[in-house]
Amino acid sequence: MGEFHCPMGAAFYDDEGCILCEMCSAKTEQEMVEASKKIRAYLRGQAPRNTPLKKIAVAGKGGVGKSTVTVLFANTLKKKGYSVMVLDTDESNPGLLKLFGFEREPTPLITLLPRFASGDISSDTEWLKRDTITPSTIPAEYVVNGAGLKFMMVGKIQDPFQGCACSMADMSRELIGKLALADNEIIVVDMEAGVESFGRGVERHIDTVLVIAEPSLESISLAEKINYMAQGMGIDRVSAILNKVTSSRVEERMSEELRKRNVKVAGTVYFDSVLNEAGFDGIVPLDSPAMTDVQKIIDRLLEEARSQAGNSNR
Amino acid sequence: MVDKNVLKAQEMLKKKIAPEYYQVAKLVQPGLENSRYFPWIMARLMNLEQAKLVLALPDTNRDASMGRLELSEGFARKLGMDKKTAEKYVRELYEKGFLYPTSKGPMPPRSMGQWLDTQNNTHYDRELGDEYYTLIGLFSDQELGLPREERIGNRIAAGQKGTSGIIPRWRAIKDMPGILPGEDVREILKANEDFALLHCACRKRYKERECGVPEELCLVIGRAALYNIDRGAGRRITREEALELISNETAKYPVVHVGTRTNDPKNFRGVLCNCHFDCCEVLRTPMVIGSKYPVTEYYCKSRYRAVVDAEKCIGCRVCIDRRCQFGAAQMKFYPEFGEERVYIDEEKCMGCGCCVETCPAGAHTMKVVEPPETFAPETGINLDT
Repeated sequence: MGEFHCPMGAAFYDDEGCILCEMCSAKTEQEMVEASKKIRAYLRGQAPRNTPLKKIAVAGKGGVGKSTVTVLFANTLKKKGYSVMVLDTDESNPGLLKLFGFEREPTPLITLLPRFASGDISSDTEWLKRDTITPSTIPAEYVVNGAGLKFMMVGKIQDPFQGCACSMADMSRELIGKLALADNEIIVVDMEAGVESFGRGVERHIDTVLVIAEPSLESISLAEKINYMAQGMGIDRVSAILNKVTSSRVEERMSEELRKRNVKVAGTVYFDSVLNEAGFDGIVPLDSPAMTDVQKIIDRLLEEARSQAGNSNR
Repeated sequence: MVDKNVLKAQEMLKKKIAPEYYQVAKLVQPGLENSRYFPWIMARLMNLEQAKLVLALPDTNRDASMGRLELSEGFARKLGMDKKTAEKYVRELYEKGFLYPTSKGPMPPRSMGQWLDTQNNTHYDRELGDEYYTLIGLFSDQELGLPREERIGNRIAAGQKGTSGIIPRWRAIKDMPGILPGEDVREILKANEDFALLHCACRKRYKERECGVPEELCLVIGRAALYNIDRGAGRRITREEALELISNETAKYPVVHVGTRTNDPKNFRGVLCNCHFDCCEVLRTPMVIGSKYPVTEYYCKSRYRAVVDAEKCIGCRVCIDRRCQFGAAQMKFYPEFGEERVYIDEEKCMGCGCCVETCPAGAHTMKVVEPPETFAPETGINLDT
């Protein structure tokens, strides 16, 4: 179109591919706002509907309990018979591995980048470049197996001068996108706190985003932003999990605040003092009340995914 | 010595034109009927019969089975023409870039956002005459500046970032980690199937330009390629030829890549411009004519900036004299070397990578200065509303 570069790539208004948003002829602020709303609505409509639950991202504000919930989630899915892979994409907090009870650290994916490889090169650094990757073909040093779970990590920034997190986001995006999972395989990705990962498009190949919220307005506000960005990327299964909830009144209030912000709620994990105290020892007990809450949430999510898939097959 | 084309253009303006042309101008955009230039541009673009045809659109007697450039018998009859002649007129205006094959049949541009299409089909150059393009240049320089500024002001008020920006030359950033797919021209080419080479509508106006940048340097991709090939304005090229153009041909001139900012290269299906400030109608506005907005409000900077290792600089001045359009590459006295060497003014640097690509001493590199979420968080439009 010349000066105007159509974001949909249409050659002219009402060309094939034109969604009639009228951004090309928008002159006033009002017209531009209206046009961008149409584009958003179109993008939402493009989201793959009823995707199977296979690649889950756990997101939320720092400190809300992402890592803890990831541990409970992964173990619940494992108990249900799934082969679970956990990917730690958090670049700062090193705790997830220990929370799972693993001792050995897997080789971080970041070492695949020449800049980060410290000389001790494994025999196969090219596997991430393949078009599809099945879990069984990932070289053993990058995966820690234990207690029926597979654990991988992207990398940590240890040296203050190690530079930007862009390359780590790339690794995460690549791996998640290329992972070809069998019917009983699921990957749970523990995200970095906040929305940075969304800006980098890490979640592009995720089908489910679970945003953890705790009883604070800030975490709920962030849940709204994450919901918005994830939906903008075409992920249609985005919902919040209320965590550390101390009473039904708090639960109601949180639900109301999230509803006001158009965020769906997947369920509640009540404050669990046993879990909380064990946290100080770096342990996530798998037999505490919180685990039961997580089981209920997973049952509901799986059931919804199944019935959605059923509806679309009719 | 005034340009002879400017004189010819001014002669064009002295001629009296039929009232229909003022109405066509108004149709393209209300207010243009009062322009000192636009109605005359329309008068040169189409004959009177065509103007009447355009004014009579849309063809409400159409049925869904008709082709997008087809007209109904009833419509042609109303104009006092036979269907074949009317469709011949339509075909010509389609090739000239004025009528578009929409689902409602042939339609004129909805706004000035599409107007460059009437200025780049070289098959009609002789018929339209050099002075047609010169007149358009005068119109753009003298009358389009304010509406552009108004649109930018409204865009800023709407909280939206511009959709188009500088895309770095790939050789300048190829070794950097974390390049977004939409910033890598090679990925954009890989993600698409159809490519065509087009004459730059802007550049055609400035025949006396001294920059030496050729006209046929506009790369269209995807649907824009198919549209331009179909109407005879674009020359189909292969992906390899497109890569060759991007990599080598465009490296010979001080041109920057301008395109849509998007996270998905498959969404980049429009134009990859190769712009030079004195022959690009958009860059000219802030950089030649003057605007209250800086050039970054017209086209966004890339996420990168050039950086010079002064120790390696040999003072050849290629970057200053032949590459940087934005005045970012400058000479500065370095006491530690006892002489002047190049340094980059980051404020002015747009991150185009031109200087990095051609530094004979390898003194220039790029660095990332903005995080990925500033590029295109959702899909090339920063939708903050």
